[in-house]
Order: sequence, then C-alpha cells, then structure tokens
Amino acid sequence: MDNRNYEIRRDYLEGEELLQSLPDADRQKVELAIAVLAKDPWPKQFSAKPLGDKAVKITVPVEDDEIAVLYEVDVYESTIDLITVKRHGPFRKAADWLAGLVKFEPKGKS
Amino acid sequence: MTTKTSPFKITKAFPLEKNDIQYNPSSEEVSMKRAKFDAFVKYAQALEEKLEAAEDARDVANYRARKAGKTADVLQALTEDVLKGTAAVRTWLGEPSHTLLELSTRTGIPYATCHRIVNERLGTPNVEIGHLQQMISAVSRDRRPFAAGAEKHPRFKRVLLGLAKGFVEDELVSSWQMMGSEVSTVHGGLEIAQKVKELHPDLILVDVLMPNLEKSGLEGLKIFAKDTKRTIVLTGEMVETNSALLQGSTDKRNKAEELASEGETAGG
Repeated sequence: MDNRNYEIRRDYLEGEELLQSLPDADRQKVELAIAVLAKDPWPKQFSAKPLGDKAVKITVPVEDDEIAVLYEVDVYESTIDLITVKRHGPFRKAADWLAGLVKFEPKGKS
Repeated sequence: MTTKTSPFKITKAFPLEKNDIQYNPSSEEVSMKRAKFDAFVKYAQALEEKLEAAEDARDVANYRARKAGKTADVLQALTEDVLKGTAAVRTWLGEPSHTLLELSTRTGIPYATCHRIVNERLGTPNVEIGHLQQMISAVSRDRRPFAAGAEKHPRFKRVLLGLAKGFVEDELVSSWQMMGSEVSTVHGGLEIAQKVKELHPDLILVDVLMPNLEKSGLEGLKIFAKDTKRTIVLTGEMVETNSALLQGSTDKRNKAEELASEGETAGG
C-alpha cells in the first residue's frame, strides 16, 4: 500500500438510490468502506476482489445482507471511479443457504 | 432375497407427535446422500459464482460505455466552446500544464492521450475546427487521436524544447517523437539562443520562466521568431501566453490575433 490519497469520484456511479435507501447504520458502513478506498484501494477487510482491467469489487456486510461496491482504480492518476453499488443478489443468498445445509448432521434417536 | 428395512421407526400408536418418529439411516445411506448433496452444493456455488461474475462484467461494461459516451459529449462541448471562443477554451488553449490535468479529469481520457491532443493544440495555436472534430471522432471511436502512419508526416520536423529541469520534458519528448519529429532539448536560456541559430527548428517550446535567459521569455521570443516557423511559450498566465503568441508566432492568423488582443485588453 502506498501513501497516496486516491480521489474518489462518483461521476458514473449507479446505485446511488440503493445507498440512500439503506438504514442509516448500513449506509454509514458502506460510506465508510468507500472512504477507506482513498487510502487503500484494495482493502482486505472488505474482501477486495480484482475483476480485471483496473476494476475491483469489495463486499460490505450489512444487516441481513451484503452490499457490493464495484470501482475502477487508476494508479497513475490516483483516482477511483465508483461504478456501482448493489445488493449481493439472490444467487449468493441461495448458495449461502445451501452451504449452511452442508453442516447439517442427520442423527436419529439411539 | 434381501429385505430393506426402513430407516424410520415409529415408537407409538397414533396420534403421533414430533418425537415419536425416529430416523436411523444406515451409514452407507448417510454417506451416499451426503456425497450427492455435497456435489449439488458445489454445483450451486459454481453457478452462483458464474452468474455473479457475469453480472459484475456487465456492470463494468455499462460503466465503460457511460464513460465513453460522456467523453464524447465533453469533447463535443469543447468543440462548441472553441466555435464560440469562450474564456474556458482560451484558458484551455493557453495553459498547457493545467490543460492536461483538467482535460483528463473532465473527460476521463487517459493522461497520455490528453497529452498528445494538447501537443497537437500547441502545434496549432490557431483554432482549427476541422481537425478538432477529427480528433473527437477518433477519440470517441478508439481513443487514438492520431491515425496510423501519421508519424511519417510530422507537422513539425524539428522541435526544440527549452524547459526548466523537472518539467514534463520526458513526456513532451516522447510525444513529439511518436509523431515523427526530431526533438532537441536545452535547459538554459543562452543555450536556446545558440540552438535556435544552429538547428532552425520548426517549433520552439520554451518555458517563460526559463533560467538564465538574459531577457524575459517574451522578449526572447522576438529573437526566436526570426529563426523558426512557430514559437510557443509555456506559462500558467493566459494573458502572457497570448501576448507571447502574438510576439513569437510568425504565422499569425485572425483567431490568434483575436485571442492575443483580448488577452492584452484583459491584462490592461
């Protein structure tokens, strides 16, 4: 991690309305995660995942859900363009539910 | 003949309650069902990852499309500004060092591409609408403002850069070299005068705050003007730049005169 401060730009951001519709506590969590990007564009605490060609995705846990933030990092210009803010989606929820079922141990009465 | 026993065992007659049914599967049955279930979960997780990756890729692609569209819009707006001759564009043309950052920030075009565009603008202090429109269409198409092979016909064959050390010299040199020009650089005012007489460059780009220049940068331009087709002075002050263009350029056209005279008027 370098010591630069990245400029966070929202010119092309989609999902601003989702951000506004979140409860205050959740919105603050997401905004804080976005603010962290200014210092660390690939924050491990939010499971930063490169999507290829400068695009990165972080996942912010909120109440009963996760919010994904996609953004593009330009290290030469020290800028971060936010791409989209979205819920993690029903597929992830279904997969998590299934993964939880794996832990189920069928036991009968002896 | 083997008989298969049910894993379910009912411990009580009807009516049954929750705990009256016991489930005691064999270990083989348990492991088989678990293996099937594990396989299904893995499949579901892999499918989820694929769907999520596809959705992310679509979001990124949409973002790039929005950005490219805005780039074209901004450049179009700049063209209109040029046509109108607004102050913003005169500043845009007059402050090269600020222009690169501002243009790159405003349009989202990579800095290097902006650099090539601005160099082209520096080569033509007079506004050429047709050429700007070509650049716009080229930039919006594939972000390469200069066609392949353009370097074979450079606008300026010999370029002399007289810049204070630490300026964006490397980028300027490489940009002009990409356009096929022979580039020489000097770092002192006295060297510039010597090099100009020696090389007769087509274009001189000189920093107005050049150290060791006996006279001011603007006065020096009058000398350079005799030995070159065009001289551009780099400065953060628009008024000075326009005055400099008037004094230093040997190829003045109406637009340049307008800009310069307006600049002088503004400067008192």
